[in-house]
Amino acid sequence: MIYVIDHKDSFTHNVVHQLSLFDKVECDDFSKINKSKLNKASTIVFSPGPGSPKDYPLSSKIYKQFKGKKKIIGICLGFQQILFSEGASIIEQNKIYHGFQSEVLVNKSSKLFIAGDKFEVGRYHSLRLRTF
Amino acid sequence: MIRENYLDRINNSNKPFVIYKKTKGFDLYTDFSKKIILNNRNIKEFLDTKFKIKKNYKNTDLLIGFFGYELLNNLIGIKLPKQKSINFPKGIFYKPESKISLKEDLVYKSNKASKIAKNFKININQSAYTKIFNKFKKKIKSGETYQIKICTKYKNKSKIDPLDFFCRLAKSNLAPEAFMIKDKNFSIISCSPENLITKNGLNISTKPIAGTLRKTSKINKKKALTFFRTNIKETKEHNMIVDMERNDLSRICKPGTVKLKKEKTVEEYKDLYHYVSLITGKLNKNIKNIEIIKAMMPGGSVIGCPKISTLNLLNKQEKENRNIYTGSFGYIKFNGDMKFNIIIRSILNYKNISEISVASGVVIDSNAKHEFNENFIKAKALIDLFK
Repeated sequence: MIYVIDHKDSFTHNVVHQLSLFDKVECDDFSKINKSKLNKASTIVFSPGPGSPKDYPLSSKIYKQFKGKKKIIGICLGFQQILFSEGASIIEQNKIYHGFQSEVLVNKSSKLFIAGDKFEVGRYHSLRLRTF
Repeated sequence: MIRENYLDRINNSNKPFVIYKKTKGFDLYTDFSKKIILNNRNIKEFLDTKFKIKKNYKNTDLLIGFFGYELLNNLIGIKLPKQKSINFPKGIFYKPESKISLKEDLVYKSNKASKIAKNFKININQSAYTKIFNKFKKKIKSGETYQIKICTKYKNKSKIDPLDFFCRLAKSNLAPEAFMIKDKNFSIISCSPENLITKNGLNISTKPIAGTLRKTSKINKKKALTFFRTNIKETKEHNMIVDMERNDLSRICKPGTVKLKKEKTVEEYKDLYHYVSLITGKLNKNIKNIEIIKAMMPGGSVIGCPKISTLNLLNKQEKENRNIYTGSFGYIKFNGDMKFNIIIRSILNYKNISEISVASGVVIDSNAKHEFNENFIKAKALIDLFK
């Protein structure tokens, strides 16, 4: 079972809808997490969402608890949540992408992608990782 | 078909009635046997009402009316701070006993005494608007919202004949979700272009609008489409709304069934062009209407996104109750089918005060002056009725 932790986003259920094609999916609001679902899940997904990782301490706690024990995927804010939990700092971007379509070019083959493939993605990001 | 003087007769009878646009022409509903005034206490019970399953339903086996903005917020657990309010009902539904089919060409000559003021007072001037605009831009930069709609209100004191207004509006700016309500102490006249829910059996669709272009003599429909397609800001604004509506439908539909049916088409109106998409899905079996309404309302395209955090930002900012504006009007049939629009481009006349609310979206690359003016273009077809 995949457990999606929703950070009150308006795109979370697009992800849930997609994931449902592969496995049973449960989705709850980040503030109303069900412990037994969390323990049962084989994969935890941190959803996109408004604001910044520091606004979601409960999600960081879950990450730390299950890191290395379960598969964890983070999308947009959810991905930054993982980085933040690992001690990274998340800052505002100069250029903001909301609803912007970009073409992605795959430069290395993997289980999911073949090198040379191109596809369009919708981008939503206001914040970024501070790099050193 | 209906005798020409029917509208005169119904209007003179002083009976409350509702008119709603259908594919061709209009339906008029009247002889109400029940009037349900909604509030936070009875809304859940109202939406959970189970109707008797029958073999043959009558064409009046439905409840028709509206949900106001505040009620829809409360339904999804969002409380509004204390706002200036005219204490207009939060929602009203009627059970009609008569339904009459009307032709597209509504013939009616007003003989009612009316006292119409031409000038409107706006509640937020351009400089106040710009301040709110800049505040929201900061919220976009910090990621609390990606798109947010600032609402402005135009008001004046007028005693109007709502049927006369509606018939003139139907001629000048016919819209697919047009409707009017005339009741004893209020009326609503609307040329809403936007359908939020069409539910037939397990099929559901929504038709969000995001993107507005002012009409000039140099722009035709084809040029408008090119403008929208090549304009990055309009495209992004539209994508966000489509992604959000797909999300809302995905909450109640079978996995894999939510589809973008018609992507990015242009609709033409009296003063403007709109950029529109159509999204469809197949509902989960045994889903209740209350769950559909909670997933879809208040309609996202007139709020911004993501919905919850944007609603909270808006509600904190707005000093006046939105009343009907960005609520939904439509009907629930006894067989479970529904049709609801988003209440925009509407006049609410209550206690002889007419109010028209409009909103336009702030995204990262919006311009305050342009958006402020866009609000006026949206109100223009309605304001023109007062001339």
